[in-house]
Amino acid sequence: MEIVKSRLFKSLLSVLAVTVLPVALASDDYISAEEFLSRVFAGDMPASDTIWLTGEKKGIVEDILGHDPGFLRVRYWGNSARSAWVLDEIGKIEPITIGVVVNNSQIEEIKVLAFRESRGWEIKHDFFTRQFNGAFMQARQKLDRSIDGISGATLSVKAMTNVSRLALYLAESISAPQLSTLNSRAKFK
Amino acid sequence: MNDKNPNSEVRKPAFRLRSLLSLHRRMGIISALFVMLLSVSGLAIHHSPRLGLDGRFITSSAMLSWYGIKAPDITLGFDLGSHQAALIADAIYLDSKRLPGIFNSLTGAIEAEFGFVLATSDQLILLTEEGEVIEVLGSVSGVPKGMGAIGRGAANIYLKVGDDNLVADLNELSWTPVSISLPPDPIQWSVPVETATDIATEIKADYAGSLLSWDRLILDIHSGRFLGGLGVLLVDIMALLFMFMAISGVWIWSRRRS
Repeated sequence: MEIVKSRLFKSLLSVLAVTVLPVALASDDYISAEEFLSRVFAGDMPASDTIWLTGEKKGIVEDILGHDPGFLRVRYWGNSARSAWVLDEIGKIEPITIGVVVNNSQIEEIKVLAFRESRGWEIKHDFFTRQFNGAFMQARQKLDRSIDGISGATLSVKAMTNVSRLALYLAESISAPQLSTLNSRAKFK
Repeated sequence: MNDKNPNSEVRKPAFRLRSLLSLHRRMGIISALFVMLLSVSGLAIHHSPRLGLDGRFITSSAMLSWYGIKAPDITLGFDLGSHQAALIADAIYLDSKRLPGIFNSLTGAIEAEFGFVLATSDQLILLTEEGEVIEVLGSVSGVPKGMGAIGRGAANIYLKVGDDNLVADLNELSWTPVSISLPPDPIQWSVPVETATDIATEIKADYAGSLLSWDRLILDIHSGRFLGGLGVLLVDIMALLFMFMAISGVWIWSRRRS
């Protein structure tokens, strides 16, 4: 009788593992950009600053993304040592919102904050994003490592990889002086 | 009186083989065109991301008409002096130029010293005078949700959120409530206007041209859906034909060997 109970218990556990576990894995809730930043800075969110994409910088950003970024200014939180970025990049058709934390020129964390495509959402899982932890930029804005793809999520993987490269590149340019001619454009009235 | 050919029993299988061979050839010629069509479209689908087929759109009015695609009407527009801003479905246009991004509302548009500010219910879109997007400010920048209108005073930009009017400081990203009874300066709220006919026509044509990608068209050709239900049936028949040819080909080959 004990053996029967034990087998029944194991069978139930197997059924639960097969049915509930994938649902639990798939229900990694997205968090808002505000929650992401609040968590990154332990509730003490610093004021934001911006970087203008002009001249050579714009060309490099276009090379990284493979297309015109579609905006002239990028906002970040933090400083040259540790900065957080919330960036949008098109997967196939819809933009994917991705949060990136860069710490001493290395990726500390990357997280999908909003995914709007019907396919490729697997990139939100930790098993995938963990690959980026500690990644840094080599020559020509390439990552120091190759990122393993996910079958059926090629474009989403490409988008996240490009965003990680973009964040690393922009973090490098935080300390670089902004062109004085742009200072006047930074003031909005 | 038996006029039966004594060899007829032997010849029967040979006759069957010849008939099948003839049928196999005819079917082969019929299916050749479809094999080419399916192979070429299949290769294109397989390499679609590399060829950028999902990012290229068909603008042919005949093709859009075949699919029954018609651009929706412009939801609403705002006047910006020498320019116009308009919302159509989930896209915002400055004149006939589409802004990058997806926007589900447009609550106002004003001129600013640096260019223009367009407001959705929860975002502020900052544009240069040339219509380039400087930045889209959202809730992460503190932009209040539920903006109903945007307006200008002599010195400030104002946002209407519910019954409150807020002074927007786009440098400091601060949104300060002001007294409705004692406004610091008269506010000119942005109000919807009818979009000029020529601009509206250009916007609708551009938007319609973004609805059918080459990726979709080639997928539909490959599956037969380009011709509707009849096309799917045709592809089904072709699939059965290919199966028949594969089986008959193996059978003919085995008979000849034996």
